Amino acid sequence: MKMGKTPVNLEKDLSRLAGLIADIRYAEPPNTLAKAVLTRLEPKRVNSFTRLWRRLRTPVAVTPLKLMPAGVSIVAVLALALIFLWREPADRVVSQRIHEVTDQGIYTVTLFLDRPDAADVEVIGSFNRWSQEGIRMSWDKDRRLWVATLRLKRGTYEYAFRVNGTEIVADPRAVLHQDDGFGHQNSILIIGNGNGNEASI
Amino acid sequence: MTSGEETLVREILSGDVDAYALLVKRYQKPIFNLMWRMTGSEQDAVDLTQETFVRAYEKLEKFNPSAPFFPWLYTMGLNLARDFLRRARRSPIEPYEQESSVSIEVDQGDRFADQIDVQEVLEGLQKLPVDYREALLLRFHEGLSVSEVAYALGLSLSGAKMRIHRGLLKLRQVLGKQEPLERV
Repeated sequence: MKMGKTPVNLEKDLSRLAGLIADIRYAEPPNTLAKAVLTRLEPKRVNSFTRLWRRLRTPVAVTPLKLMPAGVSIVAVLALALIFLWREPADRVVSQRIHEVTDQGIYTVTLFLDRPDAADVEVIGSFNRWSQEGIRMSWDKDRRLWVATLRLKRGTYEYAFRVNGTEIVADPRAVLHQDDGFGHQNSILIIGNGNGNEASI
Repeated sequence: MTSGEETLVREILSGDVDAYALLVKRYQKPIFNLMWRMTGSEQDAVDLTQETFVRAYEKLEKFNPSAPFFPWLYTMGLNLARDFLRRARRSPIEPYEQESSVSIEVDQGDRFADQIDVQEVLEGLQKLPVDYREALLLRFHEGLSVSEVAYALGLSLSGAKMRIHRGLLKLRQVLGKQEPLERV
């Protein structure tokens, strides 16, 4: 018994036909075909500009795993650059750098002087009772500063720099100064609350 | 694009002719069968298949490597086959009337689809106009997307959808005219 087609049956027919088309078995080409094609081809000649242009246009797949070595390299390069290229700007150099290093109230104090023209610099001050034998400062060629590190107890000290054995200069970056009564200025160094006993180096 | 083909194309463009062998081996079968359908001659199919791949290689600089390769190749093959037939003053094998209307009112019975086999479908396809036949084969045999079929046949997206749907209707009608159901 034949019945009229419904849209549902029509769609079923078309779907079935599509499936049968997919199942068609194609004839195999001759085995020699690919070889015959290749024997007719010459390698393409590419000039350097075209090669570079194509390489630049070639998309590169990027994954976090692939990025990791590049990221590590970039960080390493930046770190090295900071180490080798960083200079503390002169106007940001504090003249007195103070750190407490022991429970007994001993501090490490570093003094700086920006005098690259000097051949020799010493620190003199109340912490060594203004001894003629000053504390020799060393030349830090990386920071291009004269540097001296002292170990002091808390307290308030006066000091100055002796440049090239004769020139007495106050610390130009010290916050406080005091007239020495002879027409010169001494710099003031306050460690802790400034009430400690003065002590020698 | 099939996985890795973009890289292959770029290698070929950089002078690696052996990389092209992979593309030839991958697509020689559908192109060879296209040519055989178009010409009805195995020898002509072999010659035209070779010509298609050589022509595609020569024009590869104009191909966008990030686009699907096969539809581009197929377009080239189809054009070559048509040129060949034009020169030979032959027509593609398409006895079916191009402008015939498609009827969905054919009374074929509920069991129509179940009574058709692959061989009958193949024979039915040969009776369709080339554009319909190739649209159906690209879509359902080669598994191309509708947009890739559109690209290969130079159609709009909606045009390709219509071509595929109408092709199935025509195929169904052709098979109905063969009265396969009368064997029941």
